[in-house]
Amino acid sequence: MRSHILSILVGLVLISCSKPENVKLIHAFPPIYPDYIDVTIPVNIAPLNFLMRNKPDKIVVTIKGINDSIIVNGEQKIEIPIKEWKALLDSGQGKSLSVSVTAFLKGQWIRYTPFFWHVKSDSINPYLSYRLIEPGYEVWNKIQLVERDISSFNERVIADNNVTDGNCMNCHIYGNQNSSLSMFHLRGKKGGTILNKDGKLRKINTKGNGMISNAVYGNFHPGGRFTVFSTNIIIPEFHAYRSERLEVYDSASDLIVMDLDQDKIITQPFLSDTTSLETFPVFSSDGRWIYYCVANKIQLPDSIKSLKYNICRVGFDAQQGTIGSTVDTLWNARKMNGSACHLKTSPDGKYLLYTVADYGTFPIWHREADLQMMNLETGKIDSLKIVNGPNSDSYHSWSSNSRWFVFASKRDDGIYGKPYFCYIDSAGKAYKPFVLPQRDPSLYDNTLKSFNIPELSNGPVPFDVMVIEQIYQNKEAEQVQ
Amino acid sequence: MLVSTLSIVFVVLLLFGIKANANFNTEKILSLENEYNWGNNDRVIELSRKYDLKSRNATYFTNMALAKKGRLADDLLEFYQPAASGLILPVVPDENWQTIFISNEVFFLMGDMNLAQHSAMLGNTFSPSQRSSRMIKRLAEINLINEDSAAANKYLQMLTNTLFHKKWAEDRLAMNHASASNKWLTEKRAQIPGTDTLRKSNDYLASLNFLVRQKPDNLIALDYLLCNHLLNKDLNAFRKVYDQYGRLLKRPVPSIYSEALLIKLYSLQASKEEFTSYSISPQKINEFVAYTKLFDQSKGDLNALKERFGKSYWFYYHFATILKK
Repeated sequence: MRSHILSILVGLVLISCSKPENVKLIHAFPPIYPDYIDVTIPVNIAPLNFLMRNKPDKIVVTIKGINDSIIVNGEQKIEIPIKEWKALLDSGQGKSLSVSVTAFLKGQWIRYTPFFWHVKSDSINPYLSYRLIEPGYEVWNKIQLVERDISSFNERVIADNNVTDGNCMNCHIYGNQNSSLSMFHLRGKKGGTILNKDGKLRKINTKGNGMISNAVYGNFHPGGRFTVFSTNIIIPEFHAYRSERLEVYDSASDLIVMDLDQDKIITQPFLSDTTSLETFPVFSSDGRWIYYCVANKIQLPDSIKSLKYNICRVGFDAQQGTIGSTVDTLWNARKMNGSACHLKTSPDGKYLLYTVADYGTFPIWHREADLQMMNLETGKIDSLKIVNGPNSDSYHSWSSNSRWFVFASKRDDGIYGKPYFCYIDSAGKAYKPFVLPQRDPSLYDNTLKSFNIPELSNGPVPFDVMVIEQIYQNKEAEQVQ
Repeated sequence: MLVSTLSIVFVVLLLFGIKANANFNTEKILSLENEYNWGNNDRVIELSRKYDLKSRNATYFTNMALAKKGRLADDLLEFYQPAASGLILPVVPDENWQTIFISNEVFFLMGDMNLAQHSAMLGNTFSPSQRSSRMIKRLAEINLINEDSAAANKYLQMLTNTLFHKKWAEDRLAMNHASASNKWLTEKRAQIPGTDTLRKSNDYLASLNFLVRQKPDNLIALDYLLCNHLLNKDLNAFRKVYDQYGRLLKRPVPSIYSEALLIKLYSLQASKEEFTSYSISPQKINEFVAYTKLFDQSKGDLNALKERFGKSYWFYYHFATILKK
């Protein structure tokens, strides 16, 4: 028995110390997770740690730049040293890093076909916020808003519904990716929209007279004075057929602009009538237009599969604080045989990124939901084939240089959303996306949380859980007119 | 001597502590839950009789065990029934986590995989540490049944890293990858509706009606629907569903259904042919006559009827008071 244990220990030591020899070459990429094979990455991203799905005894990974290289040893996963990684990225800007994986598997060293990480000098905004939530459809228990430094693995919780009486918190959005201009909705009796502007935090009751609900989906005007919101009566209902899960639709929805300086609501009768459903409004990058989704009101839920949203736009005059009266349809849902949602204009004004599902206004449980990108100068639509996965791809946000966007994808298992980053070059070409790196690459396998509404920003927000608790518990909400 | 005295004091204090702090009713419900989980339905029924708990959650397990044995419509009123609330547990914010935790079982039993998934996800979210191996196993099962292999794989892989569930998970991983299906999977998949609908998560009637409409041979869903109507004293709805689906079944008319039908037919002054068409046993008809006679003689005295008819639907119909929340 003792000799048996001894021989196992000796064997383990030999394996752990041995260098690859008699290496067999195989013409296949290594079965790594996350899928970082031939992805395009920004110069300021955290190390792309990964694991091997075939569970080898040992792996040796060589990451080679033009001049330098890093060799990382691991068992079934690797953790790339961050200092060496940053140096390698800095020296490899505009070039490609070659990644070679050699694995000791079933008593044999094998070397896989190398792959590449294409390093772009266009950096991405260094902070990402998201809502961590169990995808339990109607969850009122545990929700956190989290901010992650994406050049490292540092993460901090910026709001937690455990200290706000367990009430729902909606996702955190920024104006111009600026960490000094952001907001999120805190629901519940003491709730309100938390507005972070120039270091000052306000709690606003956004439900004015005649409005059907509080503010729901929104976006900042580039000048920061106005926000555009939809107000929605939201109905969640459950499908019954196999993996069709939740459907959320609006029984009514309108569109408003809020003047944050005067706490005043601006609207137009045709944007708050009862014949159509308006939602997901955003300003154009120059602030002269409001893009939004709109559908004719139909019998719901019976005709849910006929509920299809167009993309329209209407003018906005920030000087006068008025919404125009002429509506242009940019994307016709009937002709396109789909339904558009989650509009996001690129900061350079060139593109409109949106999600298209077969029907409805809640694509996160629609397997077919994919991102599309419209060139606003030519009207040309890119179906972003290289970007979209087999499950829902939605909820996206641009980087302030318009070279990157982040989106939530359920491509792995159809249930848990994860933030993916995609590079768009100056010609508008999209590249294969990659998931937010984690220190431990098995985190995504083991988590039961979805990363909801990922949004990029240029820095950390000036608040944390305790500040939000104080505001929630002690501050009266300011009422809009 | 001192040691033995201290030991006695310790044991006394321990027993006193347990007696003072333990919730024995909860312990009993947990034992029902445990037996149900192991598939020991006879044991659940036996313990339910023994404990005679006046608890909605205890009734919930009793009813499921009865349904699995095909005895729900016969033995429903042998046990405490808090109207229909012991059939399906509500998944709402003011419920305690233990109730939410077990709420998926009935949906899983009836074949409503989407509501089972919803409840299991919430069960996991509300469990201590938001991580329950039992809920993960249930989520894996649901996705196996739904043939959503990527989602099933996610949960099963998580379980392969555990000491106690590794073997269970590996067996199901083999099922997930195998082209040939096994008996359990085939049976559960047969319950799944073939078309879609939308319903609110707490609209249980809509869900039960849909399940029965889709699969009229889904006996468990049908019995839950019929018993729900009976426990809510809605005899019109009961008869409508029974006429549409219940009469098609090749089984003797269950005891509770016979009793309910007799009330309905009697109140409608149905013809002899109509009575006969329901194939209610002559013995049940004689009992109904006896109940009616005694009811008249005693002028509706509960105590006079209780001993002989206390477990009958007639008694429930006359004397149970349904409190609306």
